[in-house]
Amino acid sequence: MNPFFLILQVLINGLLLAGVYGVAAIGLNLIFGVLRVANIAHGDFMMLGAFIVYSFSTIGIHPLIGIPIVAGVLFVLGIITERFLVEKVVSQPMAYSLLLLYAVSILLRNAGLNIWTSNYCSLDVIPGSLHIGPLTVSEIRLVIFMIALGLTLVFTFILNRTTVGKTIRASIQHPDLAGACGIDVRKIRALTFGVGSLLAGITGTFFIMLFSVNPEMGDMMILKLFAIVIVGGLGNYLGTFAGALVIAMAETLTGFYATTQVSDVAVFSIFLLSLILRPQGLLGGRKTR
Amino acid sequence: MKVRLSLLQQFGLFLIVLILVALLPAIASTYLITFVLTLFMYIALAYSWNFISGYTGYISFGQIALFGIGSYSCAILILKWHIHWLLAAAMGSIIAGAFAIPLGLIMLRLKGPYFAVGMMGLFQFLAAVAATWKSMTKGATGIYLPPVSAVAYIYFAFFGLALALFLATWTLERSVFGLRLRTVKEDEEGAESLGINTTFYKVFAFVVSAMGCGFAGGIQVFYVSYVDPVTAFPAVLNIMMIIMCLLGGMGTCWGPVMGAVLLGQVSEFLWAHFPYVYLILYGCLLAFIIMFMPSGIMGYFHKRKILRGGIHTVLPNLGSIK
Repeated sequence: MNPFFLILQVLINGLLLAGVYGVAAIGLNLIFGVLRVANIAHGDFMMLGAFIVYSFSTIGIHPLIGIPIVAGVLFVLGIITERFLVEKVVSQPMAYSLLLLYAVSILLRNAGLNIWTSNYCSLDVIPGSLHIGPLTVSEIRLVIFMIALGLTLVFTFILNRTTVGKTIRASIQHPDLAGACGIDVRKIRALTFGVGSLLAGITGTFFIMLFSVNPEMGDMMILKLFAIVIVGGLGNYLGTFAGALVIAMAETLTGFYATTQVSDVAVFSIFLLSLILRPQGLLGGRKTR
Repeated sequence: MKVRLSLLQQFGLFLIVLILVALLPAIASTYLITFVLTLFMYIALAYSWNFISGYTGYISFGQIALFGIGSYSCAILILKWHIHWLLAAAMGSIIAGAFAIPLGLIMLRLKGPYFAVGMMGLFQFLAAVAATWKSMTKGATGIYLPPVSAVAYIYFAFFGLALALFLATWTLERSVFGLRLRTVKEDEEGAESLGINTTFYKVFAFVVSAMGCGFAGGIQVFYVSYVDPVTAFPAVLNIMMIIMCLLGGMGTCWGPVMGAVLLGQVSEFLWAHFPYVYLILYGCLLAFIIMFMPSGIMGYFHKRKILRGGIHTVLPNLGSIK
């Protein structure tokens, strides 16, 4: 194969992966923005989404139909987590929410390991692939990228053009002032955590359709998602996509030219370097350290 | 009820415990010895975590990474150079400490959640390195060491380590050094404006913590006479050392030992009766601690005035970084 097309192929794969990462990273960024809480259990919410779809498919429900169900379940779960756990410590120092969400992460992961065991699972939804000249794009990646793109567009529209979106943005900018203007910040916090978990859950369903995963997937995901959010800049949604692109490209390129272990090293290095050299993110945002 | 012991009484109590511990291997069953031995390891790990997270407020979710470095260093030293195991464990501890100096200088620049996630990443990163660096670590096959004949030596080694870390914490509580360390947790910028070199104190605490973890890893690897990436970087211990320290009270002298002894017994019971769900229960316990008793058992004692501290006593807390 022509080396030019080879690199194009890798870049296309990276782009398609970036779309998937972007969805979960937006959720993480949003939760950070509104609640000022680092959701360390985000990867485990993803895992939950992935394995709920997996369970549905074993009883005969098509995974693509399972996605809306997962969205609903994770939304409710997110709201419950926020109302009964995170809300109680949201005004406390950072360590409280961090350790509390760590507890949630331990809980979800081990519940997952109990129910679905530590075996790797995957779902083969659309096995075919498209051939455009010398390039090959698997159809499932394309479909998932389209869903991810659609979801992001809808989400951006809601955030920028609707009243709910406006209240969310107000709560990010200045929670106290937003409260003084009559916005029920508590409600917005619960809603945001719900939406964040929903986005994580949907990304999880994408993951189980693309790769094989086990209930410990949250471990490796959380670092990638944090790296994306930090590279992109906190509270900067355009930046989140830039971050997703950087991480996904780094991962696909190193995975292609070296091994997956090297790509883990690359992600970790980007995480550290971006925190130390450019804590405000590539495109600017709040300082992260 | 108020408990207030004079220094002499405290010393006497301490001496009784010391004699009991020393006599235990001679009188107790092997099961009890191995159980108490594990408790000592828990105590050592809880104190190690307490140094960095309890005193400076930098929550680490991957301190067990340094346990892994200690384990592998010790195993490789024993295997390649046939060094005496205790010396190998001590060198493992020094290697972990030496590794922690540049690591601490980099990682402790990160604040709050970034440090926590960074350490979590480091933990996975090192486990991946151990699995891939086959010429040194033999990858997933693992390194086998000669089996241990006398458990009593291991028992005393762990006891010595736990005691050393306790005494270090005890001294820290009563020193200006400890106070300066605490200022990092309470108000880092304020401390810096008073001329305290916070980086030095943070990295120092990190290195001490690393040495404690590394030593524990070294002894543990000789005890189980086997090491692979999963046993060198045990996720369960990582979770347990955090919960133990929090249960007892973060940033206290007696908290970690209380938490470790309590949770060690609970864990022994749960492990035997509910082998699969006990980590779920740990998650619940951690959530409970954070929501209802964030200052742990020591904090409760202080609040109910059961314990009367001196002027050096600071109520255990989870830090003030917003």
